[in-house]
Amino acid sequence: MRDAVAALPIPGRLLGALLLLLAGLMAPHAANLDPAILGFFYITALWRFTAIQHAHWMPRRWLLLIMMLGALALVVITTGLADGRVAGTALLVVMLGMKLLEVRARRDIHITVFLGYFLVMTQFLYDQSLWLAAYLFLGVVALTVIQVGLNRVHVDLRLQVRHTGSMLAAALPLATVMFLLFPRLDTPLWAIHSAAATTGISGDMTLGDIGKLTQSNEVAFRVRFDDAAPPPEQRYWRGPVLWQTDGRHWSAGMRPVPTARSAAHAPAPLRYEVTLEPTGEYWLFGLDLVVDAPDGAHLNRNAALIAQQRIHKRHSYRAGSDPARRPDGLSAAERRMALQLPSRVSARVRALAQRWQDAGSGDPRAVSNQALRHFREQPFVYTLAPGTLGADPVDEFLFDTRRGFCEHYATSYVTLMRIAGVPARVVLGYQGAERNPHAEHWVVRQSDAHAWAEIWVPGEGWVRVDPTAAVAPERIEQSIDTARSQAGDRVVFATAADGLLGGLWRNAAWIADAVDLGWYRWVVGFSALRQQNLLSQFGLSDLKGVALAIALVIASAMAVAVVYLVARLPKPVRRDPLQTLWQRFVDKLQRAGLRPRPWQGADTVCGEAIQRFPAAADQLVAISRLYVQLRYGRRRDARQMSALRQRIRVLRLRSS
Amino acid sequence: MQLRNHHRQPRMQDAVKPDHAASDGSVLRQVLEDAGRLIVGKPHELRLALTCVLANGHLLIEDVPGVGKTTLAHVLARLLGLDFQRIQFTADMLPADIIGVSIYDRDEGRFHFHPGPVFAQLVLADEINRATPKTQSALLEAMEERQVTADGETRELPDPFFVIATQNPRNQIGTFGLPESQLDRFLMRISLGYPDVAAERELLAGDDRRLMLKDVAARIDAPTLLALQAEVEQIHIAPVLLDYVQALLAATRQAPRWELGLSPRAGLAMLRAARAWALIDGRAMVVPEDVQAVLPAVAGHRLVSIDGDDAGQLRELIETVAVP
Repeated sequence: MRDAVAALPIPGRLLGALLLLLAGLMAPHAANLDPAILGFFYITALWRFTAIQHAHWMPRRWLLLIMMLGALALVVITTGLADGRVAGTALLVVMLGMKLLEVRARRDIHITVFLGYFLVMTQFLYDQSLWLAAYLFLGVVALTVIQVGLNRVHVDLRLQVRHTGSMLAAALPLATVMFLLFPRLDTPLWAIHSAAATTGISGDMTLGDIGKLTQSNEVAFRVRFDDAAPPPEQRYWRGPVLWQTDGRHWSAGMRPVPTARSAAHAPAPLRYEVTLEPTGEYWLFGLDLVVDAPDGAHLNRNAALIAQQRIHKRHSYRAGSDPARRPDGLSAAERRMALQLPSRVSARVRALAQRWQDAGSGDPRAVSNQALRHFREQPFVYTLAPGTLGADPVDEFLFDTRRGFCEHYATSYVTLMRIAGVPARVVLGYQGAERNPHAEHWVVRQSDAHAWAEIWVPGEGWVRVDPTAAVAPERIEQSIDTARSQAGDRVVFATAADGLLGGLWRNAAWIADAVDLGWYRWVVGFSALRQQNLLSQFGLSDLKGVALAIALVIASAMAVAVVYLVARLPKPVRRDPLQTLWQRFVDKLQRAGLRPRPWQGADTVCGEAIQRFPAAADQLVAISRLYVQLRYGRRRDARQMSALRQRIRVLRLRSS
Repeated sequence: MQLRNHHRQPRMQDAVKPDHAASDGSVLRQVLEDAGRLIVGKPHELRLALTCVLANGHLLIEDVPGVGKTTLAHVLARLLGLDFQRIQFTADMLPADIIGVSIYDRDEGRFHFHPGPVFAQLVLADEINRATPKTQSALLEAMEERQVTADGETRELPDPFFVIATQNPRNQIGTFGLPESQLDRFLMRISLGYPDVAAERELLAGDDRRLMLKDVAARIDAPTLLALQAEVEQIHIAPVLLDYVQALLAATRQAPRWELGLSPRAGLAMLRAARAWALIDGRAMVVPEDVQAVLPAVAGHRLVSIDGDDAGQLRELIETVAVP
């Protein structure tokens, strides 16, 4: 049978559908591959599509050879063979194109379909989002429908879809077992070099950086708290700490040393899981103050979380924080760093700080309060458009423009504190979080990026001071509405009132956000750690390495056995409504004490019933006649059906 | 059978009338009624015989002598308005005695064909198993081909053409039993059997059957019979009914009590007979009861039972297959 089908001519409709499908499945690669590679494929696909009607258009062998050499050259030139992933994908794509020009028999289409499956897999090397996965899943279904059609003499779409459905359903248990138990690698097999620039906080800061950053509505990370979320004023997500400044530019200044490992794992009142979007940096963000560092990361002297690798793809980690704790420890070198000043400090700035120092009489908190009162009482404006500052930005900002964003306030404040002899530093991170109303997680966006300050208070440690809060207290309670803040002068804060349409849109965005995180948490981010967590829930925490592999084999065998047994189950009889109706009638007869046998026809059954219940003869005859007509007759109509249903319902059998 | 009467006389006014055959079969039921006056106590067998005629098949009656086989054939010929020939088979009979012979006509100077008794619309082949296989097969070929070939010339047999063959039970002395392949030429095999006490009494007390036969008037004629036969072909068979017939065939093939199961041809015969049976009820479609009614007569002579023939075996077969 199979051979007979294989010998049949190529079904043009199937091949055409396959070409269209492959063209669609290729499209997402536009983001990953050189346009020349994609162009080559689309030209070959179009060529083959035309050749369905005009068979003589198929290229000759020598031409194919030349084209293949050209295609290989194209791959080498466009990719430079630098990135194995891209080069390999490009090779697959051009070879798929070449294969299309070689399709002359059904067997060739089979090979093409399999190459199509490979094409689908290569997409996941670049993007693992739910939306792409859903698109590619539909593609796989369509490929399989075509594959089923290839094994049939006639195209029958409904049948093919049904077969595909049952095949995919049969594959599901094994796929689930594989997904859950297949040993996970902690590190990916290939390093992913993400060329795309990612927005986010970097290790240093130039004035204006954060202002730019906060105009992006992109998600920075998502958080799930084990218990209740902390109140808004505690939602400071700590990132890099900046010590060194030249007045305009701030940097870490020295390489912070890791803290002792024991100190990095303390009991924490707040536990949470962060899913960080790719940053290309080492920073992980934790709620101030992280006391329990995640696996694969450490806390440095600045109490910032540092990952072992740059975060080039989404990364999930669990951490624990204690909002009541403060970073402590100030070495002599650090004290020097925390008092470092830009080379140029104007006289009026120095005078202002000096005045506070005298008033505070050496108490850091008193000095700080002086500064905050200054920000609050002088006409300072909190704005995303502070204008350009000149050579001495601190001086200009404090005395001339008085327009600034969190970074201006934080850096000026730290500079002033240092002049006043209080050790101070700038902390970068995010402030705030917005709860997704459709899920259990909170979202922190780039627009929540923030800079604040810490001052050294002897006996207490590093105390967080947020000068921005003095100017714009609502910044701490609410998020910035990025869309409306860009045009206007003052920062606009997000409020709930959006109108109906805006509300709907916001809702849809939140749902998409929830789906996206769920997809990542349960599918893409199903790491070795999560696998262990899952197994330990079933008391299998020792399942590792070879044991896990053996468990995988056993579970796979069981999954296959289950599918086999289910497939062998007797097919559920699809009863037609008439059959159901008749069964209802037979049930009624049985309740009345009759015993109709399966081999008895309707007339016989009714005949016996009439002998037993002569009073109901008319009804029984009518039922029998309608049933016989519906079941064995030439014509059927719905009226007869409802007449029969009605008669069976009203039938009453009483022995007279 | 009780319910069939209700079919004829619908007592209730239903919104939708069921399918009806073009002819409501009443004339056929009159035929049966008239025949029943001569062949007492055998309505089912009479109806099977009529069904066989309507289905354009041949009938084999297997019985001991003297239970009315010949009378049945006579009555049917009379009632259906068919011309009738009887061939009494004997051991010394030759094929020409059935088909006819060509005799040289001296006046015309050429051979002239004298048709044999087979050239009749209804032929009663009495005691067919008394003749030699050669003579038997001459008749059976004529039945199958509906034409005879003598002296290199093919002659059509009349239309309708219907053979009722009778056969003595095989264990009687001096008989040549028909082989299975020849039995297959008969659509049905029935046996009349002894009448029950009341029927026998009526027979004994009543008039001479031969005299009664003379009073039987034709109910229909040959063209009407042909039209009825054509109508049988139009009776509807639903797909579910084909499922049922297939299930019955499969059951005979699986049951260990028969050496061989029923052939597809037997299935076709069953459907044809069931259609004719339905026509007598005036129904335009076949129901499972029709198949069940004709099954023993159609299948009995086509199955070789390991433990001896028994009509009850086929009844049991019916009871193992659920109706659709």
